[in-house]
Amino acid sequence: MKTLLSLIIMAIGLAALAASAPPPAAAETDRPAVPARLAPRSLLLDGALAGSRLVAVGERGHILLSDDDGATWRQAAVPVRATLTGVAFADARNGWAVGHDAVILRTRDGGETWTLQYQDPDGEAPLLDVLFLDAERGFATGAYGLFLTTADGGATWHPEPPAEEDLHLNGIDGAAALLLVAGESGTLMRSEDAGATWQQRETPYQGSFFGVLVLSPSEALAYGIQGRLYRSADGGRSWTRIETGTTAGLTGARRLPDGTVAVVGLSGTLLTSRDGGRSFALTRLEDRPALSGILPAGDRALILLGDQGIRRVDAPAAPK
Amino acid sequence: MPATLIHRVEAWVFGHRALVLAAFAVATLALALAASQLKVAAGFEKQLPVEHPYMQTFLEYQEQFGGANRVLIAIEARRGDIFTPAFFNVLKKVTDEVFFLPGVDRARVTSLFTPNVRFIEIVEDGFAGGNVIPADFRPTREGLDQVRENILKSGQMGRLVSQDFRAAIVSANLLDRDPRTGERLDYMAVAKRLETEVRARYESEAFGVHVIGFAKVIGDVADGAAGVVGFFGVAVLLTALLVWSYAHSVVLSAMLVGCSLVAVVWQLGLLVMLGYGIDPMSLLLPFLIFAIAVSHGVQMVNGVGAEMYEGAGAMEAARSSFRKLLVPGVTALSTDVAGFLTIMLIEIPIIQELAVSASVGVAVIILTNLFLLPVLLSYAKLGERHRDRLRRSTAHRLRLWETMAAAARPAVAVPILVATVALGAWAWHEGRGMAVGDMEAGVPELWPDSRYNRDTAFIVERFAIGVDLIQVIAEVPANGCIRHDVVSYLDDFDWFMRNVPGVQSTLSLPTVMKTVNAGWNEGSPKWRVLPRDERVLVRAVTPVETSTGLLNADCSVMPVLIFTEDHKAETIRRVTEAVGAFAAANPSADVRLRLATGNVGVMAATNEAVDAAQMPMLLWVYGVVVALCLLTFRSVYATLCTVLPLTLVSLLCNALMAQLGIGLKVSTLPVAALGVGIGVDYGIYIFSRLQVHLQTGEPLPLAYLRTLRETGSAVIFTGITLAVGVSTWLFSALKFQADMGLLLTFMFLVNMVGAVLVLPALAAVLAPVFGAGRNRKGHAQE
Repeated sequence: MKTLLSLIIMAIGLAALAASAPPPAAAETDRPAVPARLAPRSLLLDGALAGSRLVAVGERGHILLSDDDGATWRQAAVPVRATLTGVAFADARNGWAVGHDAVILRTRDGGETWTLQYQDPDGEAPLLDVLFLDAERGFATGAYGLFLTTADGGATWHPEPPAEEDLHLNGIDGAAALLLVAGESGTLMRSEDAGATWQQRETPYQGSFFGVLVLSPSEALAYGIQGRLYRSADGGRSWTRIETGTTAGLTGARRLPDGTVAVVGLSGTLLTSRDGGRSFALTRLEDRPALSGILPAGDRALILLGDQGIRRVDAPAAPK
Repeated sequence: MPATLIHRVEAWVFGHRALVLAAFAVATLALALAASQLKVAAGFEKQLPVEHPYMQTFLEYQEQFGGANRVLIAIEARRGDIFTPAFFNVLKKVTDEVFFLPGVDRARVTSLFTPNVRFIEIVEDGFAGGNVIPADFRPTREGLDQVRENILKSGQMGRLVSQDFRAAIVSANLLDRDPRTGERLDYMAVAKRLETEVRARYESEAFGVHVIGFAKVIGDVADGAAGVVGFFGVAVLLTALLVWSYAHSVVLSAMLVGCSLVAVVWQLGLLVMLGYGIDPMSLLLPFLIFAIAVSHGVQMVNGVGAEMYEGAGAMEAARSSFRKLLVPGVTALSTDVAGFLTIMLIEIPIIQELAVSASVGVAVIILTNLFLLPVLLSYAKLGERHRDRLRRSTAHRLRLWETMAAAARPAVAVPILVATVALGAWAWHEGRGMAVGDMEAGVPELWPDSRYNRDTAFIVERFAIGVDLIQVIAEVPANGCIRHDVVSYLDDFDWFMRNVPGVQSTLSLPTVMKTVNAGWNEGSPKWRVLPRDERVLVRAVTPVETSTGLLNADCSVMPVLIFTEDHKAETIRRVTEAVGAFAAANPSADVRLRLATGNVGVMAATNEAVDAAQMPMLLWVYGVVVALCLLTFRSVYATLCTVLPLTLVSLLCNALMAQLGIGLKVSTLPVAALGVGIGVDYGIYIFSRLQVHLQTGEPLPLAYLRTLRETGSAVIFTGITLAVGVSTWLFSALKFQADMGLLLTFMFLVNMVGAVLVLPALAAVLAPVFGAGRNRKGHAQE
């Protein structure tokens, strides 16, 4: 329903845009990102590891790098100013970042420099997440069912609508043996053949999922609005709800080097599990930032990404 | 003035002594009546540099987006946090109290209890909003918990509620004219009500009440200024003692002090007749007028005393002194008036009023001390005892004069000048460190440890919002907020400004629109963008009401709020320059960025106005001084000897300000002009006597010794009197008065030293250049 509404609004909007024809805005994709003092405190939406290097992406084409477990950060040169929503690395050198205006950026040097591989500002559909199985095979998911795949490291991208409905595909995670895509209105799709074929499973929840975290070829977590968190032990065929104690939307998840599973969300929500996601402890950051991503920072700390930028917090102590 | 005219005036004045006295008595009575009507006036707009382009923006938009005239009241929970029934009860009552303050823009009163404070919440089927304190609020545990959650969702953390949940703010904007009655707002009344109806009533062991804002400043400044009135008595007393120790006669002292007080009464009376009130700055004028009057009158008393000591009768002595002193007196006082008038170059009404009332005051002295005083003195009868005392002190001073007269010998003059030049060079070097504007946090009018500045520190520390705000007004085509290029431009600008060092935080419509857009997308932070689609932008802006102060009704004006860490001149300059740099680097046909409203916007304009006025003002005051000296002495030589020492003192004053961290601002800028205008008096009195002696053919050292004997003690006395008058300000409760007092005291004393030491040294060194001292055909002044 909401998607339909969005589409109608979009259609009318486009018509109006064509009719009134305001002077064309300088496309965000035409302008390189500007180095900024406060970039580490800007809206940051996703993070990834390039070997031991931490990489965080966010608004205004900000890509930040840290080689010391998040103690210090520097800003990479980025050819676009679009808001970047997702980042993934196939190995320590090869990585991709996606974002609004459907931009796809590529790095071959561990995030130091980036080139623009793909963009579609007029499509008005942002890309929301990205995943690479290796340096060749990758997926980018986005709004209104946008789903792009590549088999050549992003040199060419192919739209591949995997579902009939144009729902937002908010997140993708996994490996060749199990890939999961999470999206709007309970969308949960799975693939066991490295993305060649996809099945939509019966969803445990009609609300939206913001992302998935694949822990093993059989175990996975799906998380979304209203503090909803589901766990599957059978490769995403069936899901059971996990109590989180919060109604804040959950926006990002990661398994840390010590096996702890962390999930973050709006209103400063941080959930941690030391039993593979079967149960979670809830912490709330005092000033309630909207969180969106997680990176590990050595043994004892976490880097949380969100609307206040980079936040370093101590890892919650192990329950006795 | 031709000698014949002086004689005619003299003959008339002393021929009609009773008439003159009667006329003065009547005028004084009338003006005293007028003076009793004097009101303390302190408007906000009077302090604005009205001609500055920023102020055009300010005046145009202050009603819509709030000017600089905000009142913030922070209620602090001294035990525990704010989530107690008692705290919410107090907060509600204070909110109501503020709502009914006179001059309050009621639509813009903001606290947790006002309906313009809302939150937006993401729910399963979109997003919902509501008042932070719901209509059915009850101060129960559940109700308070609900409010806590709503506060977190509202984004008011750090704005209306402190970061640590231990204080909450009530914010209001005052309008300079009461929106209901159209009358000028009585700030003192508002300040008083804040104190009696809010602070006194709600401050307790459990709750602290911290009040800041322009109205409160005015109140506190007025309270502090009232203390200065007491200092006036002290200054008069000290001066009277000085006069007595100098003149050795109660009668002469009483006449002099009386005449000077008459000048003050006239000045205050004329102020009322001009339609001016008195404000904390012009409150200092009576001191200055009194001191100037005494210091000029002393020349008269000195002259009369000397003549009578030589055996002349009172009448004869008075007439002779009148003749001798009319020209230098009028010249000296005219330079004072001119000095004051140059202050009018600063286009800030409060300063211009100061210039006018000071000029009027000094002009009055010409009448009271050059006419009334000699007429009174002509009635004086001095006994033999007085003569004895005078003789002893004269003999005592003679040795001092002989020592000082050495300054006019080349052997001493050269070292003096070398030292002077060295000092001047040092002062010039140091003086470049003098800053424009305020150097300290808090309100500069008040001392750093005043209650007001401690309240400011409390609010700055506990809340994320600064109290220092500059708003850049973006003018865009109608419905600009649904054009992606326009809102993106503003978003870029907002971010650019946030990155400027010294900026604490920024707030503008695009930031809010991005959050709303995310709200429409189930709260996902990944949708915190400005959509390209016009229809989607409409959706993002619709929930934002004009009461947020972020846009106007047709979305053609959007302010960008820039909170700065402080209001130091350097910070302000960096911010305004950054705005200009952004506009220059990003030219746009559709977006016009206009500086500025907010208190820092006013300061930016004031700093620029003061900075721009400084040079012209000094050039004018020196120009006038030079012109008047040329006119009086008809000699370049005399003019150079008189004026050059002043420049040294101007340089030293700048160095002193740099050393003490006193910035050049509205209150200190006039000091430079006053210092020069009044400082030149000493030189004029000295050189006018020196010239007379030189023209009789005496060698310079002897001529100078004679000059010192005649007028030296009067000059030194003048310096001390002026310094005493203004130095009482040092103890003022108001920092700017203390600063002014310090600088004026310094300038008066050092100018005096310059006149008695540097002037003769210059005269000695320059004499060969101008062939002075040998020219016996010079223009006689009498």
